[in-house]
Formats: sequence, structure tokens, C-alpha cells
Amino acid sequence: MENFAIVVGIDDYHERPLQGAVGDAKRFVSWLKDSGQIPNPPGSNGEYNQKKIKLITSEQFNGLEDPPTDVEINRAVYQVYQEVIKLPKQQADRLYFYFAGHGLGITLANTALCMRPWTQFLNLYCISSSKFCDGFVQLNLAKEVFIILDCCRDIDVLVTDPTGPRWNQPSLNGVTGKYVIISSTKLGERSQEIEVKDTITDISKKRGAFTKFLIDALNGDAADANGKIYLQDLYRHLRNNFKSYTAALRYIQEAAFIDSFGENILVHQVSRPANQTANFILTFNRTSTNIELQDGSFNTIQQGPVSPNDQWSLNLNKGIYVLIDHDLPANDAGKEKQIKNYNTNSLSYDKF
Amino acid sequence: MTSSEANSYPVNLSIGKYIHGAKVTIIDSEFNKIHSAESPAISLSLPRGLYQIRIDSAGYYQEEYIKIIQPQDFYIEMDRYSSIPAHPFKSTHEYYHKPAEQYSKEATYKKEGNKRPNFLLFIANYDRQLVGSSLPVASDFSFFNDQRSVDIDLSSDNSHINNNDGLILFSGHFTTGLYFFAYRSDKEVRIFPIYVFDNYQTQFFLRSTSSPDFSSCRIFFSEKMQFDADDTTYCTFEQLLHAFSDYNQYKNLSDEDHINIGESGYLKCLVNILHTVLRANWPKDKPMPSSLNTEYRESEILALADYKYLKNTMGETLRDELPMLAFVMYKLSGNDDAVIPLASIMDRVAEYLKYDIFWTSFTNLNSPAEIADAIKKEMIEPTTLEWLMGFMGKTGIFGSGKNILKKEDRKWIKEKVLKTLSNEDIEFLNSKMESFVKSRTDAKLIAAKFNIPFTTVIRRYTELKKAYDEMEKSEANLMEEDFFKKKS
Repeated sequence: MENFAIVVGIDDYHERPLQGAVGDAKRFVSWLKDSGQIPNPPGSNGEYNQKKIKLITSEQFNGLEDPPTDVEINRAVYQVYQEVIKLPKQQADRLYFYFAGHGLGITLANTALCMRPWTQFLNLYCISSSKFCDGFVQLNLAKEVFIILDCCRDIDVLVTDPTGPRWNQPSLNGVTGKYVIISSTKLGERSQEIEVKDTITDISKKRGAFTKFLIDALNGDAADANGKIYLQDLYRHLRNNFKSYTAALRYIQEAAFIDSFGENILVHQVSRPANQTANFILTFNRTSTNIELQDGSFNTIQQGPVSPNDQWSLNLNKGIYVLIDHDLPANDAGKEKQIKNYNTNSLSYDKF
Repeated sequence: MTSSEANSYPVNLSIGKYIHGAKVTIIDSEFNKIHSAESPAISLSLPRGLYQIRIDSAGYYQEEYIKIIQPQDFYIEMDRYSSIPAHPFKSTHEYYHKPAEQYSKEATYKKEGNKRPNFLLFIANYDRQLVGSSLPVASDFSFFNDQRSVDIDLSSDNSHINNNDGLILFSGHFTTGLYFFAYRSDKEVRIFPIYVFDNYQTQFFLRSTSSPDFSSCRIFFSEKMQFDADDTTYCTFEQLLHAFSDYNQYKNLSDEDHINIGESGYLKCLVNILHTVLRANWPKDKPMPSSLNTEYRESEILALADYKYLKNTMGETLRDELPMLAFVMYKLSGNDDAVIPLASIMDRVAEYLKYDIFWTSFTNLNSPAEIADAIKKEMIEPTTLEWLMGFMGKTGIFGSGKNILKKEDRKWIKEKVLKTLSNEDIEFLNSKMESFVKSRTDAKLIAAKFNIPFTTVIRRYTELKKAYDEMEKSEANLMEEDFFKKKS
């Protein structure tokens, strides 16, 4: 597939800086590469395919006060355009536009994406997600345009008409592309950053709850039995389980989606790596002489003593399981925990 | 009989503190949806196993797990929450609602003697367990009017403050009219317009940790002139707010809710506002719900400024009464919006009531007298009376960024501003006017670029000039590419 991506992550706002947006943008780029959506060119060991993925983050402009602004994004679009017109059909298969940062809700279909110089006073330093989406579609850059927004959508009544794209070009061979816009939250609501411990470095970092959930979904949690993730599967998984995921983090957030496809397209296909023997890694942060993992029918899957940092590598069917610490009394709030395995092909993690 | 039927057990599930219309879904351990109903009581047979119970309503979600190993009754209580310390919300306790009830009848601010309070401010932690250092500083809150004849910073002298319970209560009797409730800390400034009406008690409820959570605050007007934790009108109020967010929720109002609405001038006004906006914007190709025809007589309602403006002309200039609702303020700021789609009431403005969103535009300096004082102390650049008018204009009270103040607005502003400035202040400002404005020849270009009033640019010239120059330079670089040049 000839896929391209423009990925934006902004942390260092002058007011209300974020902590996880740049990391999320990089993680999305890693997903694009590792999933095969936009792999590295043959023989290349680079971080990612820089001709096809345009990564724009506030970290790249550290020391300079203002970028990224819409200038950098427009320039990235032009660079993608220059690559697309070299393709035989002058059209990519898919264009991803990912944004993590601050946002403001304008309409159900339009979010103001706040550029780095945005402040509550200079509140017009935003670009319009719907105008850029229309711009991509009108330019016919790709058959499929995927807009993914991990940002708040609460309202600032003074922001009504954020900036659109700066190009005014005829479309490449007519307008045939379709789009989907997946937002991390509903209009008028906020999008949360959560604290997550890196499984390798064990360092706690902030990241967008939605991006984490979405990447897990695209890595297999939303897949059917054949490892295929269709658009409706993705919506269903987000609709059914993202709210539950955020509820466990003590707040409520619901994703929102709009698409013009009119059909159930294939988003991605996953397969379990041949060397992957487990699909669930459980890490313990307690000492207990008797931990039991039960399935939904109360059958014991695994049982035994644990110490902090012990891990169980498990092969679980899709379903809800319960962990029980038999050392604790019945009324102790930490005695039991339910864990969920959404898919047998994806590798999931949890702690107890 | 199948083996699963043989191992099935009769189960009764009851939902306590149930919100009318909430959907209760039972999901098995393989994520299959077994049952779904909008009911506080569900009886069915289920095979042995682990189940997830999801309770879903507008703005509310809760999930619990149950284990079925024998015939059993289960009771799950909804964790309903509100800033208002009323039953049956879980966010109240007698250490919150009892003082609220007491000081709704007995003023903490006693300048007006023993008159029943007509303004009650309730600020509390989310939970008493979270108290200690997590209560905001009382003096960061203030209550004042335009003329500053009422100008109160909260303190233990005029408020009930209980640090053990994490509670600040302020109440008093004030002449009817417009007041402002402000919060000013290092991190945040918020100002709310607060009305005190005849025969109503204005009640402002706010929860907090170390800083207040304005996103969940509530303003209520009670004809009962007191707070009563058992008054179900507060539950109805919360349900009605969900209908503002999604009109599909309106049909979930119970018979008791409709009775409560009928007995509250405030809630009747909110219903009128909701239905007036929706009727005006309902898509022509969709059937209009019959409930939209509900409209209470004006003589029966508490006629908020918002309602008056919606019923008169949308472009009417604001005077002494300011809307409370963000979307009404938005409409009055001169923007013609498109047809409102069905899923949300106001597609381009707040999906839910947010009383202060308009006022977040205020800077730390919130009165002309303070501004004049700051100028004298050379804290900010010298400016003019026009700038003071522009400052007010910047907030959008008198129109959107694009508008030009009408003559009658300017006259009104001058009168308002002059009331709070001394002659000396005015002379000082006027003396700086000419040379200052003349030196800012590009102010109009900057105003057009950022879509803000000219006088705002004058006031913040240095900051905006820098931003403008950087933007122009970046855009010039971009426009060097043919791709970005406009085709003629």
C-alpha cells in the first residue's frame, strides 16, 4: 500500500502545557512503521520512513518560541503532495492525519486544533480539522483520508472560524477520496492524559488515554477472529469499551466518529507473531502467598504466590477474568480485580 | 433443557438511586450483551458465571461486576454526582447539606441585619476525605457589583469556613440586580454574572480540590428562599441540563420531574429557552417532537435576560442585563450560525450549560478603576478611554471581534466607565491618548489579522505586534512556494 502520514504532537504551549502529546505522536509513528502501514524502505534502519511520514512536534523546535504553527503543517502537506504526484496513479491509498495537543470544539465535524502559539488570549492560533480534511479530499491526495484527533473539544465561543489550508490547487484527477474523522472525545468535552508506566523502562509518563486505547485496538484488540479490523469493528470496540476503559481511570470519555465511506472498509489486518507465546502479561506490585486467576466460569487459570515485579505470561481467550488475592479479607477493596482480554492476537498488559 | 439452562439461576437486579431513562446492560464474560433495559429492576435467569453490569445515561456511566453461583438478588446503587449537596446524589453528606440548609436561612454576611439571605454560595470539596490542604483560599473568591458599592472578599468575618470538612459558605441579603462572583488565583481568573431577583434565592454551588472545578458548577434560583437537601427539584434540574446536551433526554423526564418544573419559575424559563432555540432551528426535513410546543407563560417564569433576548430581536444591544447562558451570549455577539443539526442543540456553541464560558475572556484586571490604577503605576502601557471601552468590547459583551461599537453602546459604556473613574483618571488617560494611538499606525492591520478590536491591539500592542510580525514572516516564507500561491 502507498500510505502517507502527517503526524503532529504539541506539548509546549505557552499556557497549559501538556506532557503526553509529543510522545503519543511518536507512538503513532511507531505504530505506522511496526504495523506495516508505512514501513521503512528496504534496507533502511531509520526511525521511520521520512519521505512518507511527516512528524511535526513541539520538541523539534525546542528553543524557538513559536513553531509548530499551521505553516509547518501546510509545508508537510506540500512535501507529501510532491511524493504523491510521482506515483503512477497520482493518488496514495491512504493519508493519515494525526493530531495530539490542545483542541476546541467548533461543530460536530469541526475541531479547532491549537497550534503552539495558542493562548487563551491569542485563541485564533488554530487550524480547522474539517477544513483540512476537506482540503485533503479536494486535492485527492489519497483514496482514504484518516483524521485522528486526540485533543479536547470543549468550547471557546470566541473561536468560530479557525484557519484552513493555505493551498488552492486543482484536485489530482478528480475528487474520489473518502474520509473518516475519529475524535478522542465528544463535542464539548475534554480529552484526558493518563499516567502510564513504560513496560520496559518502568518510568511513569503521561499520554493520551485515547491514543493508547486506539493503538491497542489497531494492534488487535478490535480485530475479528481472522485478525481483520474493519471500520465498524473499530467503531464498535471504541463505542463498547473505551468508556469502560476510562471509567476504570475514574473519569468518563467517549470517542466520536464521522465518516463518508458508506461501506465497511478494512482498516488493518493483524496476525500474531510466530514467536509470541503469550498474549497477556500480568505484572504484580504486591506480595501474596496465594493469587488466583479465574475465568468467567470461575475455573482456575493460574494460581500461586507472587512478589513485587513478578510476571505471569498468559495465553488467554477473549473475555473477562478475575484476579483474587486470597491473603486479603473479603471486604478489602484490593482483594479482587477484573481484567479484560479483548483479543487473542494482541499482546495486552495489566497490573495487580 | 440445555446444560446452560440447567445451570441457570433466577437473578433479581435492583438499581438504587436510579436515573429515569438510564440504560442497564448485562454483559457476560465473553463480552456478549445478554440483556438491556431502561429499568431500575431486572429479573432474569442467568448461567453461573461472571457478569458486567453497565449503567449508562447522558453524562453518566458506571460499571460493576457480579458473580452468579446461586439464585441471588443484587443491589447496585448509582453513584450519581452533583455539585448540589442534595439527596440522592452521592456527593453529599450531612456535613455539607446541613450547613447549606442553615446558612440558606441565616446570613453569614450580616450587613443587612436579619433579613433572609437571597444569595447563597456553597463551595465544598468533592468528598470530606479529600480535605486538608485541598480547600481553595477563601479570599480568592469575591462578590461585587458594577458600582462596587458591594465589594466583598470572602473571609471568616463574612463566611462560614470549615477547614475540617472542606466547606466555605457565604450568604447574605442584597438589593436585586446584577452582581459578579469572581475567583482570582495565580493560575486562574473567572468571573460570573450573578443575578439577584425579587422573591428568589440565588444559589451557586461549586466543588473543589485545591482549585475550584467550574466545569461542574451550578446556578439555581429558588422560590423557596432556602436550600433543602430533600428537594427533588435539584434532581430535575440536573436531568433538564442533560436535555440541553441532547434533546433525546427530554422524554426521559419523569412525571415528578414535570411537576417540579411546573413549580419552578427558573426551570420553566430554561424549558422555554430550550424550546425556543430548538423550534427556531429545527431541520425542516425532520418531524418536530410535540414536546417542543411546551412553552410556559411569561407571567409564570423567572424571565432571565437570556429568555428576553431570545424572544426579542437577536441583535438587540445589551444593557444592564447580561445573559448567563453561553450560547445566548454567542448568538448575541453577532454571529449568524448555520442550521443546528439534530444531535446537538447548538452545533457551534456549548453543548451543555456553561455559565462562565463567556467570562473567561476577562483578564486579571476586571474593572476600569483597577485598570486606571495599573496605568498610573506603569504596570501597563498608557491608553485611552477608548481602550477601556475596547476592553469591554473585547469580551464580546457589545459584539463580536468584528463589530464596531454602535453609538448608543459607546455612550452607555462611557457612562458606566465614568462612574468608576475620577476626573483625574480621565484627564490622565486623555493626555496620553493622541500620541499613543498615532504611534501605532499598524494597529488596524494587526486587529484585522487577529480578528480582535482595534482598541485591544492598542492596549496589548507590544505582544500582538510581535506575534503579527512572526506570523507575517512565516507566511511570507510559505508563500514563496507556488503550491500556496492563490490562483487568480
